[in-house]
Amino acid sequence: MALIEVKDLHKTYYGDGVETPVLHGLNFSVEKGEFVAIMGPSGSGKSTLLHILGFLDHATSGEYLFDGKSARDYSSKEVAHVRNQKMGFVFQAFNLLPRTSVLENVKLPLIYSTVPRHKHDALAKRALNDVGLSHRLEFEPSQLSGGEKQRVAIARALVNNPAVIFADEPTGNLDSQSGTAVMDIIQRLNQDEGHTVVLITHETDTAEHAGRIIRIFDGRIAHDERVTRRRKLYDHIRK
Amino acid sequence: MQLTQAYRIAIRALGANKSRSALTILGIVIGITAIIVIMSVGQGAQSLILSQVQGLGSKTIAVLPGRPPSGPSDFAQLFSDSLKERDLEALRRKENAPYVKQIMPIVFGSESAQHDADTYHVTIIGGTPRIVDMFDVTIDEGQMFSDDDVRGRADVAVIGSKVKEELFGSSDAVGQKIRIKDRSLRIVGTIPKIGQVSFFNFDEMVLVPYTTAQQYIFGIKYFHRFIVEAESEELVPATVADITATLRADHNITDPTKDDFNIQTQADLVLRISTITTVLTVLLASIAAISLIVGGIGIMNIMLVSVTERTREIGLRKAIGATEQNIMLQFLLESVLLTAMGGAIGIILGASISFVAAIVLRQSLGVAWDFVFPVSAAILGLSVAAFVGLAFGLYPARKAALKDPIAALQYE
Repeated sequence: MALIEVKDLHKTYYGDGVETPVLHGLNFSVEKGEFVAIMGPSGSGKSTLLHILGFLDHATSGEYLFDGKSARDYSSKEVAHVRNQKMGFVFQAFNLLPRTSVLENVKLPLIYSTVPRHKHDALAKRALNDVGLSHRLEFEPSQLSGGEKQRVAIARALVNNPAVIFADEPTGNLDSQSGTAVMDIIQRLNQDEGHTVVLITHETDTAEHAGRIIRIFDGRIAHDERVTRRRKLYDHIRK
Repeated sequence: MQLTQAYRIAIRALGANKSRSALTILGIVIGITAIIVIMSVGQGAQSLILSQVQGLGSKTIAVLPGRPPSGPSDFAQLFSDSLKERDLEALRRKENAPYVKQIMPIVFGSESAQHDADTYHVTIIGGTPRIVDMFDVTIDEGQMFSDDDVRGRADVAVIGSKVKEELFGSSDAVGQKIRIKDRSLRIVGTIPKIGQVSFFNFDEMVLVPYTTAQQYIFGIKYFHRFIVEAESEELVPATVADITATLRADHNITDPTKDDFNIQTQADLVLRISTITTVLTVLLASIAAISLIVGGIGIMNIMLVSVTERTREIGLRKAIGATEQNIMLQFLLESVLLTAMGGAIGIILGASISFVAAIVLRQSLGVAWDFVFPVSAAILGLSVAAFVGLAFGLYPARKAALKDPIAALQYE
């Protein structure tokens, strides 16, 4: 059974009496353990698609099955539970809480989980170790570089050990070196730890870290293909 | 999410905006302070007044002319003339009222007293020599007029310290004469400065035999009061019943609703005064409570600003698994903590002000004013403050909880 299954997905925005169709009938599925990049120019509907996949928005019509259950059948409490336990989000703008330490930021999803509090510190530290930030625990976001901020955000997405990580242009605000470091981490999470990753980007370099690229154009899937010359883990280090 | 974690989040958020939090709770602080001060001073005033009333003695019964007041707008007819000499004689008979230890008729009024060129406005009390025992008054120079003076309508007077000072200065008053209503009264004694004794300021008084006051000063044939002392406190109700029966028989009254006199005991008076002061205190406290509503609106305003400011934070929290209840609880807890803190500060401030006020009143007025810490008001104030936080925090918290996560995350 696929983790994510999308059938004839449509999304139309209604505002000021104007209908703006964004997605026109998408069909695809993502298996557990896959690393899928969704590519497309701005306005192609890729962000809207990710929001629907992440339960942050609803489709106008069509079917979205997450973990074998239709998105429509999740109650608002279950939606919160799924976002907390089964999904991890990485945003382009990092969205870390200001004036709050790195450790506290990473612990945030645990607050809304059933994990007992005495385990919070250890779990957050392990996630921060995974992204190589063990030496920044007490720093505040304003004291970090862009790449470090995004790695904190990845640690936060990881801390509840989710089934899938949704990343929305994670390298969009980063220079190429920090961007590559972030992508390496995401790739390693997929290959070494088996996390499913769905990533949005408009950069081919970034997309080539994935095992599969879905190209969206004007709300329709233009290509859905395996990456043949996939960028290898730690390529830039070997160079 | 546990409550302790929501509490930690709220404390952190409030700490991040310390000066704003402090200014926000000012309205609540002022409101609670005002309520505590009013309740404390009100209770202090009440206990002071009650101690004055109790100075009359718990065995004392007052008989007043006129119908008993039947409601707040129905005043007793103070100058009704229903209490006559024959009522006094009837009450003095043992077979009518066996437990009466003593009974004293009283007439009173205001008149000008003159000596040489000096005039002073005084309160005239016409009574019997017993008046000094009843009010625990001592005679400074000279002596109290006698029962013979009462029987003989003698032109004698005992004057208070202020009257003496105004009319005679530092020279001797005893043996001198004062003129009241063209009647020349010989001063037989003076009362030292004692101030207020159960509503009467003896310093400004002229005591005369009631017979003299009735005949020559006021020109009346009735009394303004009978002050009755029962044998003991336990016999007060029985004595009240005896007096009522005697006076009804005397006045040919068969219908109790047509009574032309009314009887007050100290217990009645204490109850009535407590009711009045409590009503006044509650009234003033309710006015002060309006400031709590104003303070609550201030809290709501700031919470709305805070919700808007932290739109992205709300969006993020929802994206990583916060339920609507989680968000709601977080913001509600913030506003309740704010107002509860304001309430606690207000209680401390209010108690301090009341304490200082008690000291100042004691020293400036020379009265036995006690500092009362109103525990009930403190508990009430704290719960009202928390309730205000809950009530006025609800709308902003709901607004936060219902935010759309995508719009919130993209909010600039």
